[in-house]
Amino acid sequence: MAFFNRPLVIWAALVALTLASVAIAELIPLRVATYVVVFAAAVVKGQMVAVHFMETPRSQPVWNALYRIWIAAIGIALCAGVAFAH
Amino acid sequence: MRDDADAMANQPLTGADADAQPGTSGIWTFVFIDMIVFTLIFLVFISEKWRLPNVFSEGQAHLDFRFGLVNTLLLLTSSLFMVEGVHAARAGSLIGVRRNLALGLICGAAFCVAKTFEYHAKLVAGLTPATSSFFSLYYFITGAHLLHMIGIMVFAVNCLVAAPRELGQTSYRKKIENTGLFWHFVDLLWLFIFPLLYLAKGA
Repeated sequence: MAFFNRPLVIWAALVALTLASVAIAELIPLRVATYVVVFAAAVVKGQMVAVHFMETPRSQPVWNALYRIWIAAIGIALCAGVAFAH
Repeated sequence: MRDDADAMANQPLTGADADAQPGTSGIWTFVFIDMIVFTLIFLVFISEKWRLPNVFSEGQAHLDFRFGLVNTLLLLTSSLFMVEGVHAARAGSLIGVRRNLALGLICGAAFCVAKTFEYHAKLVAGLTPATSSFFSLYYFITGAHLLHMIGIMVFAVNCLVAAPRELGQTSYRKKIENTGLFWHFVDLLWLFIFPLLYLAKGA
């Protein structure tokens, strides 16, 4: 498991998710499902940055919870916002 | 040492280890307040997009996703160097701190340069903050983010300069962890700004 915690591996996963979400947004006609995938990728990336780069699990539990809930909530809110405007 | 630091990253905090949390309590609070501020900004963007869907669709059509993609990759790479810099500081490696902070700063500077080129292209095309509600928010959101980037780069330069004389001190570890934490937050914000502005173009 230590291998998957290495910053370089996390960075590679973040880049791969970024390229995948760009490909989906640019190649597939924009529909609600596309928005969901693109913002879900952003939430996953955000969680990875929080856990592995910001090290939120090592912070006070309240910060760990607040930061990770914020990442999920903002992703859902933005996705819902652009989807309803569609 | 790096494996130790990597392994530590996912350990839950216990009461006795409060001092072991990365950064100071103040920076965690500060970042959370900034999160709330950006939440409000994002909500304004969404409400305006609902109110003026065609204006936003037309405005977003002028944005080139390649600029956003390059900026995303630069920020992610800068974050990699920052986290490696923090790990190097914990391991007491001056060379590691210097190399990683310098590379992170180069990526940060490249982000600022790319943003400047993007702004220049927009302004030359007559797309100013006064053009529409979309461009007003585009410049505000990306400008606020850019100011965050410039601000944290100043702190990263401070860490780089102070490393030779302060490395090994607890205060330096906290300083570089605070800098890294805020740097990653700036990266985190961009992870949502990028799809919001550059990818979710339909209306």
